[in-house]
Amino acid sequence: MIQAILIFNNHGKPRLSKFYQHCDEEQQQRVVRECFQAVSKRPDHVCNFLETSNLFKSNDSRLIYRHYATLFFVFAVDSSESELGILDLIQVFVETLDRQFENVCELDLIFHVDKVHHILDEIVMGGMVLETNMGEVLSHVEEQAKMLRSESSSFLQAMKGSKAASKVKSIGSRLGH
Amino acid sequence: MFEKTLGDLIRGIRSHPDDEAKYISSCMDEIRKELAQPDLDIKANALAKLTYLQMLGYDMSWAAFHVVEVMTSKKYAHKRIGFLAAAQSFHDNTDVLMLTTNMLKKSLTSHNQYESGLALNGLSNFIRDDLARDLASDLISLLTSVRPYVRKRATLVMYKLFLKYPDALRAAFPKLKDKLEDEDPGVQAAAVNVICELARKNPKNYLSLAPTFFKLLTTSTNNWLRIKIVKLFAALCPLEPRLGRKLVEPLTELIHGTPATSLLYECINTVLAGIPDHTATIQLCVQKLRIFIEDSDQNLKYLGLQAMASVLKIAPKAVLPHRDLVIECLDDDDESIRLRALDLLAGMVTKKTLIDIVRRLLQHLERTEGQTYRDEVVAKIIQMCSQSTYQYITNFEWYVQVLVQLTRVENTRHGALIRDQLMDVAIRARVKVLRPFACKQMAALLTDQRLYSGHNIECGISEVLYAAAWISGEFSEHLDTPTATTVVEALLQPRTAQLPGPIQAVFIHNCLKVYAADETATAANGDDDGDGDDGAVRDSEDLQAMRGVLTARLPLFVQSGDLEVQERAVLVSQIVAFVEADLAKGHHPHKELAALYAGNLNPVAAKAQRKVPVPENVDLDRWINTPPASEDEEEDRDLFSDAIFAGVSEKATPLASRYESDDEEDLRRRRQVRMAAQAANPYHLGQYATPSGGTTSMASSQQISQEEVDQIPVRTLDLGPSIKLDVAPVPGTGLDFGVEDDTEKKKKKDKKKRKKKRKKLSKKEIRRLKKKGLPIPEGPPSSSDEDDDDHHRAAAAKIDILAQEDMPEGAEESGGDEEPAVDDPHAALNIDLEAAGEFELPKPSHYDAMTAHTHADSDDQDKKKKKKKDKKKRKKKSKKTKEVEPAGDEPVEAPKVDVGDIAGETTVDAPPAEEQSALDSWLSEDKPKAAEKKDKKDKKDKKKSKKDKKKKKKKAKKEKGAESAVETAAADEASAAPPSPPIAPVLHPLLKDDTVAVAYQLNATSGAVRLQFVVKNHAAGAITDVALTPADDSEAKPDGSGPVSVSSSLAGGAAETAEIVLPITDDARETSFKATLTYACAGGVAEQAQAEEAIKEEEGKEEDKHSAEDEEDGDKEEREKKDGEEGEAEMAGDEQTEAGEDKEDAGDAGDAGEGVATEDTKEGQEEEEMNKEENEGDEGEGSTTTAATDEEPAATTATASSSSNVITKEILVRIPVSDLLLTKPCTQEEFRALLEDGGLSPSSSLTLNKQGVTFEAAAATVCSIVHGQVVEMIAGAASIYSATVADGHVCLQIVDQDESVNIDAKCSSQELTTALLADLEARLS
Repeated sequence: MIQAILIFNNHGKPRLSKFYQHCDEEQQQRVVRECFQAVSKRPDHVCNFLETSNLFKSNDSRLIYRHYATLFFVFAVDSSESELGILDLIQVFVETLDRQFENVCELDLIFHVDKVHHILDEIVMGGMVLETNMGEVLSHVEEQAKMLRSESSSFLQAMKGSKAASKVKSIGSRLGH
Repeated sequence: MFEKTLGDLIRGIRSHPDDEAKYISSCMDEIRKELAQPDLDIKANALAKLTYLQMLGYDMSWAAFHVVEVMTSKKYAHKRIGFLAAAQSFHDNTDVLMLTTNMLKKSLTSHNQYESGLALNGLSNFIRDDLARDLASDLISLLTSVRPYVRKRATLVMYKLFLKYPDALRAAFPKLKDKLEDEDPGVQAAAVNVICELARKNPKNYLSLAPTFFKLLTTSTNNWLRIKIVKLFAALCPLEPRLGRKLVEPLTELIHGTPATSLLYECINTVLAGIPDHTATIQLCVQKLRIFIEDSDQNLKYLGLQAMASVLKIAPKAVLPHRDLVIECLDDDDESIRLRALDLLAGMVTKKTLIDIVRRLLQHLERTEGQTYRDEVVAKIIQMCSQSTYQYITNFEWYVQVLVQLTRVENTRHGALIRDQLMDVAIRARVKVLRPFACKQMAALLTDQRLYSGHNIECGISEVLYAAAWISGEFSEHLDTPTATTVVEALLQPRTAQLPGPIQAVFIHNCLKVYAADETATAANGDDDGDGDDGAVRDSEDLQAMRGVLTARLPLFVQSGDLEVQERAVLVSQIVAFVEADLAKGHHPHKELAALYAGNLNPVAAKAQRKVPVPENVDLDRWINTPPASEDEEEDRDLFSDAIFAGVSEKATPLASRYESDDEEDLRRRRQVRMAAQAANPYHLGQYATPSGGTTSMASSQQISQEEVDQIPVRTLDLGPSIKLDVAPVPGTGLDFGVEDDTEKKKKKDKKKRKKKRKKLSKKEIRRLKKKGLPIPEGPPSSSDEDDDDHHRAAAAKIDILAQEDMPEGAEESGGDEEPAVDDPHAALNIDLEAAGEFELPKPSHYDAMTAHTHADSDDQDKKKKKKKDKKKRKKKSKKTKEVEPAGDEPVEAPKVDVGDIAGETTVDAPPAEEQSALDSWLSEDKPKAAEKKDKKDKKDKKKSKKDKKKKKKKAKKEKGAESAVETAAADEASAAPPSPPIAPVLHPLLKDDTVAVAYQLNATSGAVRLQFVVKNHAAGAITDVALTPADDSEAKPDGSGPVSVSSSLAGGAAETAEIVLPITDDARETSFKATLTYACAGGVAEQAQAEEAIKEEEGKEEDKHSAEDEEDGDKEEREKKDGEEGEAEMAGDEQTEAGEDKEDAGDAGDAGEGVATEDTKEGQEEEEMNKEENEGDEGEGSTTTAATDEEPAATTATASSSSNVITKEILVRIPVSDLLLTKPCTQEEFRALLEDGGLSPSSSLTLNKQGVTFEAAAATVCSIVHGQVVEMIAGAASIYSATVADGHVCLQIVDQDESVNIDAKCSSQELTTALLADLEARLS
């Protein structure tokens, strides 16, 4: 199981936090802080695994992270996940973001954290890996975006229609009086 | 009016770096207002902003209702925002969740897959018990959704559903299982994922899925999926040893073949966890791990080291050769890697390597940076050395030096650890020379001014001074006078006053010890020299000087603020004053001084107190004082003891109050206080019983097992003169602690026995006491009044027993049974899925009643034979550890449920049993597989996969004869692949000379035997013609008796086969026919000769190698082996030796068929001819005859490569009757019926010498020769059934007779019986 997925920048500012087991805001901030402290002091050429103690209630957790430019992508996982597998998954996640935002940078993540969430939801669900095929993920993200667009246009029309109808109705009721 | 969008909010936050909190709080107010508006667009926008703020740590639980509102919106855009907010903020205690049930139900069943997806994703985050219960059926039905997008999510969400609503597991399991074979790989992966998570906690319930996973593992190409499966197998393997064996092959293949390092790594991990006893595979893993560690990728390095550590646990020897590599890793830049390497290194320590490893670590310490890391190294060095009570240390002086060296590590915070080690070693020291040595080292330490520096005091290195002072004081008799003087000076130097109180106290206490010892020593010397008159001993100048130092420096400490220091200083100065006074009177008080510290200090076992029996007249349950009337009194007393005496208040409290409390809590609290005190008390020796010395925690001291306790070197120390501790009050019990002199060693054994009894008794007693909530008595007080160490010892013993008692009742009996935590949701998921009545288990297709039945039989046999085989197996294993053991060629030790019978006799309405047996049959499937393989190996069916064959061949040879599994294998073969394992094709050699090799093989299907010619051509020439004619004595007419032409284009290597179908109906006799071969001859002789040279050499070597292994298998096997090797060598030599193999095969199967060049007319050669020498002779003749025919000398043949001489050869083919038999399944009942009235021929019998092999092996050999199946096997008797091509029956009964076996045969016809027995005799005698 993946326990948490965190993205923060080189200064520890959270850019995305997703917890797959409940903890309140205070705990979440603590975890982000501790992860940042653990990860940020490590030079870039060292290995990407980190054993942590009591990050969560269960002792069984490790940090697997990657550092891209200004951002840290940190996955907290338990022993049922493969270290190298998760590293690949981070790569998939980042590449998907890169495709989606076209040369993703920190700003994209700052202003589109909701989109990042939606993409992540296509890859990981409830702490379990859902899809690792980037094409599949992107096509579904794209399809949903399309759906939203058509929805908003049709919704506007529907709004207009319903307004018109209510007008007619009110007129009718007035006439009835 | 114009609400901020999420973007605006974020921009706003970024533009207010200084007053971010204020800005956000204003935004929060806006959000509150916006949420209160009815417009969903505004609400959703506000919610999006709020979700963002949540990430920054702001609470949003207050908006839960609005979240639900937005989730309920019809618009997907809103829904998405709502669900995201819910996923981020909802949890079990969110009240509004109960409002979402209907909305979720609707969303789940929405025709829009993304809406279902949203709901499913949301549920995976916030599903709760009630939601789980209400939505379970909807979720389960989504498992069969047509859309993979939904199916995938529904599958994954199952795990969360099960956690909240365990009952759903039973209902959903069949469908979930189906998902493992879903056409969509994503769904498959999801199902695997879910089952992996489930199985991680309750693996045994998912064992039955092993075949499915196995199939997925071997067929899937999705690495994610395979990683998960491989990980899952790691959890399953420990439960089912057969599974591990089954996995060896695919895992090894993956390890060899996969390009994905992640998969490779997980495979290695699974091998380590699941099949730890498979040496060859482990070796492979270690090789791969080495490559990992050598990789420049830090991640691989790290993982390699991590996995190597697990190898260390199961096969330490495999890791040792890689020591240097691991040491190299210590210089890595990456601290995590260094720490890993350090861990690994600590585990690699042996007696031989310790010194080297520590030396390198010490060097490493000098050049390394980073305080925590250096501390870690220091701790590791100490751990390595001290583990298992200094098991690996051969030279304790060296260790003391190492410890002294460690004190020079800057800023180490392990001063206390080093201190404890020094004291422990000095006290434990078995080697007497150590103490003088340690004393000198410690004296040097004491004068090391560096240790007194403020900085070092601060970080705790100065703690070692404590040990230094104590050791040089306690063992000061080993110090010479000048050193003693410097020690006393060092002890009392002004800087001492800066040290922490406890250290000062020890300093002062020990300066007197040093002085006293020196005084005594001088007196003794004086004695030796002089007249023995005590009073006349001269007061030396050194001693005077020492006294001078004492009197001059002590006043400083008399005024110390530390009570302990003060008291000791006063005591010492007082004693010195006495001495001065005595001396002034002319009396030398050295005797009195010596008396002060008389007696040796020796280590006492942690549980020594246990051995002290409770005196008969002491009733431990009785109150010593009457319990106090009320609590108030005690409170009064507490008030009375004021702050200054807080430390001693407990002691000041009357005993009664300590004994009065029944309160367990109270007791525990007090114990903890004691434990803490004990941890800080260096005199407490009990704690050293565990290797980690002073850092022993309470928990670990509880974990000491009884064996360990026995190993605590209470009696192993030989410290010279024995002293008896006064704590053993009852005479005659022979209780000596710590020491034992030589005479007592004799009693050792006796004592051991008695001790055990005593231990039990005392345990019982203690338990009884505990029930009453009483502290355990210390035993009678020590009578040695001068020695406070004794008190410590007693206290130590006492505290340790108390620590033991801290365990709850019953805990010690049941050991470490781990109950899953009550709040662990997985506990509820421990459902026996096979026992579920609600669903039907799908019946595996390959499983039918017939096979079930036969399987039952074989199971039965397995059971019967199990014991013997286990024994054998062990033998075998030890014999050839290098060989890859064929998976499961032996019955397994796994607890075998005899379900086969149930499944066979009762019918389908017992699903659990059947399922179980399906698993069983799958697991044992590898037996037939192995058997098939063996057939291949033994008999060399095809030309394909030559390499494989080469490898397997050797193995097959070795197993032969020794393996009794053949019968079962054959039996299983019948059950697993019922209709058609006919005679596995066997290559029988016919002819081989320098230019051509000919062999035939039989392919038997029911009713006909196909004869296939295999012709190998070494020469450049071409075979032009092959013709078959029946031999004169044969009744069988070869079908294609006309010339069968063989492609004439083969040149120097290509193999050709000519197939001739030979229908055989009358199988009762040998079949013979003549084959005529015409081929062109050219060149190749030299090549052949070379190859043979090679063989000879090879053989010589191989013989040596194997001669040791052959005791069991006798001469015959050895000969076969030779042949085998010959075949192999030839293969290597000129790659064209099908015939070489053939020859070996012939040897292998006995006298399967013989090829004789007709020119030589060597018909009817005995099998002995397969013996190598004769083969050679044969070949030699062959070549000469060739030469003769061509009327050219051999030498010229070799060179005349282009000459196209045509050679014609005639070969006699004899097919023995046993080769025309087929394996057919037969049950015991059928067999019995056959014997009783099957119309079989009267029985004939044959007695054969076993030639030293076991009965099982002999039976197995017979079975394999007749291609039979073992119907029944009991000790010393076996029934074998086989059938002829024409459906005739062959029934054999083999009975063990000491030196030989008796074979009774009954066949369809008398002719067959006779022929078969003759054949068997020919082959086996």
